[in-house]
Amino acid sequence: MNDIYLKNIVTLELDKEKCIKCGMCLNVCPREVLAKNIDNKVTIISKDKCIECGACAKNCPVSAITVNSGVGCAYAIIKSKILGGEPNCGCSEKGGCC
Amino acid sequence: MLINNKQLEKKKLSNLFLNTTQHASTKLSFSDRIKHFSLRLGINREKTAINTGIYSVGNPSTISPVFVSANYLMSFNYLRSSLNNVDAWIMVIDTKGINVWCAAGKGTFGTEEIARCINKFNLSKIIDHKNIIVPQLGASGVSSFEIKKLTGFTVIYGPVESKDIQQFINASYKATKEMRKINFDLWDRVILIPVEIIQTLKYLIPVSILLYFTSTPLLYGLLFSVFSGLIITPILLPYIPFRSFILKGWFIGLLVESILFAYFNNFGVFGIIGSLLLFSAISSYLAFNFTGCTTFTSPSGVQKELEMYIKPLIYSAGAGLIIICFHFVRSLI
Repeated sequence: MNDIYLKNIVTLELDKEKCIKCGMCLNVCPREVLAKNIDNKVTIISKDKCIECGACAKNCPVSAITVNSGVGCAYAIIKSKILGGEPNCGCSEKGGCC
Repeated sequence: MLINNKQLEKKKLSNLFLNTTQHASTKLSFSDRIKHFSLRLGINREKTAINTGIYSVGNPSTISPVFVSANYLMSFNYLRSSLNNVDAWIMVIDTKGINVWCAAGKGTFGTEEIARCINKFNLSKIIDHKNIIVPQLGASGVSSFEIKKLTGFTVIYGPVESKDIQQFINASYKATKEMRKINFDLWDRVILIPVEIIQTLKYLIPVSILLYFTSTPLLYGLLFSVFSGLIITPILLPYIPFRSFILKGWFIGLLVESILFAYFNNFGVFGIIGSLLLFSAISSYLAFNFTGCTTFTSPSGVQKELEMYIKPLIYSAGAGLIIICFHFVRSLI
């Protein structure tokens, strides 16, 4: 399945100098965005596949990875544009959920 | 001998804790399946949230693995039903009745809640080891090294899908590359359609009733826009041209509405043009909302789509509405 979303838009950044080769980011990425290099350091292999879930950044003990992650529901983003504030899909409130 | 005594004591202690833990069967009952069905329709979600706490599966001991789960019924049920013939503990944390993936995105399935539950439920008194297995899709809310710092427990990330858990256990808690990948196949998309439709009903039903008594072509136009945005687009998603969901929905909307109004060709040229503009925009908006359901869209991408296409979308809908009104006013004169 052709499952790449918009190209050249992802905010994922990796500072190779900081990488300590623990490989935790590889364990948590559900999209095969990252891989180990020959020197065992991690590198970004398919940036456009990244869905900015933020799992890699959150589990990197040396903050080598940064990404603007957040709620990705269109409804939440539109609502936050109109009403202001952070996008929130309202899933923990009463009513339906995505 | 001393060690044995110590172990025995621990075992007694853990048996004591058995009274504070609840047992979870690995078999799903008929009523579970009914509840799953209603959850898929988005009905009674708040009422099906399960109690937090430690659950035992099979006959676990102090060395059995601990799986962390959300208090969303389906998350918990999928986990326990995949633990057939396994002795294990399940620690259910409070995610406000939301599934692991969505709750992790919001941070409710997160570091703090896991740490709180480890302490609250005295996990270190129930088991001898210091490992917890967290579903991989919870990782966006969980910082493994912070949990280690806060509680001394090591986080092992389990597979994305619960069906791989047995294989994961047999491979001494290692997930293969394939288990780490999230898929979004036809069935994954189809199963999300009902809840999306139910959510539009509160607008769709009153407007449909109004249109039923006023204009048949507009009634069909509206129903077909929902059909194309919420059913056709998700089903054919990978095969529709364009990467943008707004454009995908627009494209399918125009296609479906064109076919429909080729049938209603006596609606008048203004009525048809107005309908195409309005209903394709509705289909487009509904398709755009499906970004929240997929597993391959990013917040930055959704933001970008919004910046690029939301104005044309509003203009199209607005112009369509004005032209339709003009059509009706003209036919009255």
